[in-house]
Amino acid sequence: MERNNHQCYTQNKTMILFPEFYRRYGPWAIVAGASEGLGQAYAHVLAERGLNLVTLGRRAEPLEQDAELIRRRYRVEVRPVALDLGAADLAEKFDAAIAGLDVGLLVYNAALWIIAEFIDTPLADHQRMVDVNCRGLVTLAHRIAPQLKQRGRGGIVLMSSLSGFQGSALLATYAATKAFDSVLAESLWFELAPHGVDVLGCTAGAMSTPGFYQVTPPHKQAQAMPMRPEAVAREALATLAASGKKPTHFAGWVPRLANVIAGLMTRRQRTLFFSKMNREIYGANQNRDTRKS
Amino acid sequence: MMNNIEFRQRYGLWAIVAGASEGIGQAYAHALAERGLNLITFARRTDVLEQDAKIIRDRHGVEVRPVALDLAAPDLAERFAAATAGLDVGLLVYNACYSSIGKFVDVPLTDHLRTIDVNCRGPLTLVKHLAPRLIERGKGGILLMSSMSGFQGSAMVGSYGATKAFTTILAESLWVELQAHGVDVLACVAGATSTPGFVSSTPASKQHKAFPMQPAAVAREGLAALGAGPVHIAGRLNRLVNIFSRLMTQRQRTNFFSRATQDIYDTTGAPS
Repeated sequence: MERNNHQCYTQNKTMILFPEFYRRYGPWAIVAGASEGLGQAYAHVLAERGLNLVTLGRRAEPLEQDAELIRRRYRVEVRPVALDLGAADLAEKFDAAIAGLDVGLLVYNAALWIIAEFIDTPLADHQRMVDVNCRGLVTLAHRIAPQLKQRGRGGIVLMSSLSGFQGSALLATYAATKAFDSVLAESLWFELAPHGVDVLGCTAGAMSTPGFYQVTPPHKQAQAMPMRPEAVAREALATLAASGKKPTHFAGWVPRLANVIAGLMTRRQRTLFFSKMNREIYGANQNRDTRKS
Repeated sequence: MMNNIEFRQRYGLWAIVAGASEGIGQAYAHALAERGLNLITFARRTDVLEQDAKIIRDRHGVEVRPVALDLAAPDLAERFAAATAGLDVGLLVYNACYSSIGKFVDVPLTDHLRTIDVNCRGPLTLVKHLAPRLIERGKGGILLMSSMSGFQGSAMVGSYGATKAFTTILAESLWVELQAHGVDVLACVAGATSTPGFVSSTPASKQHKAFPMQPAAVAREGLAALGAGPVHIAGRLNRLVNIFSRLMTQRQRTNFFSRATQDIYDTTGAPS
C-alpha cells in the first residue's frame, strides 16, 4: 500500500538525481538520532537523493521542525517519530513507527557520550550509554535486517568513533560502546553481503556538531580538527554505495592518519596517547554530557 | 612474579569471581584459593557453586561464600553490594559471559540483549561499585575476561564478539584511570578454551581445529599478568594469531575469522 502510494508520488517528481542509490536504498530510509548534527546531515543528504525518511530522536520538537524544512526543500515524505533509543520497549515502538513502509536503509547515529572519570559517572549513566549505543543499535539492526534480506538489497550504516579503537581516560564506557559498534558492523557486513545488503561501520573523528561545541572548551576546539557533519554523511553514503567493498570506513583524513599512526603503536602506547590527548582537551571540563539521540 | 604472600597482601583478603561455576571461572577460583585468598563466587546455579566451595575449603583451607546471582538482573548492584558488604575485597575477576552462536538475524533479539546485559552491563555495575572501595584501600585488582573474538567482527558470533571488544577497550580505559590509585586492571584475552561451554557448543569433529587451551593455564596466565596491564593475550598460539591478524586489513581479518568460525560452527553450509 505504502509502496504504491510512493510510486505515484515519485512519478510526479521532476527527476531523481541518484537513481541507482534510490533503487538500492529507497524508497524509505530510517535515521536514528536525527535531531541535530550528523544525524540531521544524513537526513538532508538522503532526502536530496529522493528517499523518504523516518527520523527518530528523543525530542519531538527539533525533529518536527527539520521534517518541515526537508519536505519543503526536497519534496519527500518525512515521518518524525519521538522515541527513546535506550527504552526497554524500543522494538515494539520501532515496529509501529515503520509498519507498512518499504524500508531500504538504516542509519544508526544515535549515541550518548559522557566525558568524565569512570568512578565519577553515575551507574545509571554508564548503563544508559550501553542502552543507547549498543542495545538500541542491536534492536534496530535486528528488526530491519530480515526485511532487507528479503528485499535482496538495502543498507545499514552504523556510526562509530575513533574512540572505539583503544581505551582512553575520561571516555571509558563510551569508547567501549564504540568498539562494540565497530566490531558488530564487521560481523554484519560479512553475514549480510551474500544477501545484497551493504553494511558499513563509519568511523568519525571530531565533528562540528552542537554536541561537540557543548562539551569541548572553545580554545581546544581547533585542536580536535572537527569535520563538517555533512561531509562525513556524504563520504559514508558514497562508501556504502561502492557495493559494500569494506566493512569499515574512516571519514576524513584526520581519522585515517590517526588510524595509520595508531597501528604502529602497541595497545598500551595507544591507550596512553589518547588518554593524554583527551585529558588535555577535556580535563578542565569534566562531567559534561551530551545526547545526540 | 610476586609470591603468594605478596599476592595476598595486594589482592586479598577476599576475591570475587563472577561466573565461577565452571571452566575458566572455576579455574580462577581454585588458583586464587591456592594463593590463600578467601572467595565470593557468583553464578546463576548454586548447586555447582556449593559443591566446588566445599572442595576448595577442604583443599586450601580458605573461606568460600557461594552466592546465586544472575549477572543480568536489574537489581544486580544492590545484590552485589549486599553479598560483599563488610568484606575486605581486593580483587574482582569478571568471567561471566553469555553467548549464542548463530547468524545475527537467526538469533532471537532477547538473546542478543542478554549477551549485552551479562557481558557489558554486568561488569560496569560490578566495577562501578567496587572501584571506589579498591581506590580507598590504595591497592587491588580488576580482571575482566575477554576474547580473541573482540579484535574483529566475525560471522556467527556477531553480538558476542562486539561485547568482547567492549570489554577489552573498557579494561584499557580503566587501567589508565585507576593505575594512579594503585589499582591494577587487566583484560585477559582468551582464545578457544576447553570449558564445558566450548565442548557443548562446538561439534566434536571440529574441536581440534580451534586448538583449545586448558582453563587452568588461562587463569594462571591471567593472574601472573595482572599487574602488567592493560591487555594480556593468553597462550602463545593466540599471541601469534594476534600478530598475524594485525598485519591484515580490517576487511581481511573479518573475512578470515568469519570463514574460520563458519567452518567450525555453521552446520547449515551455504549462507541461507
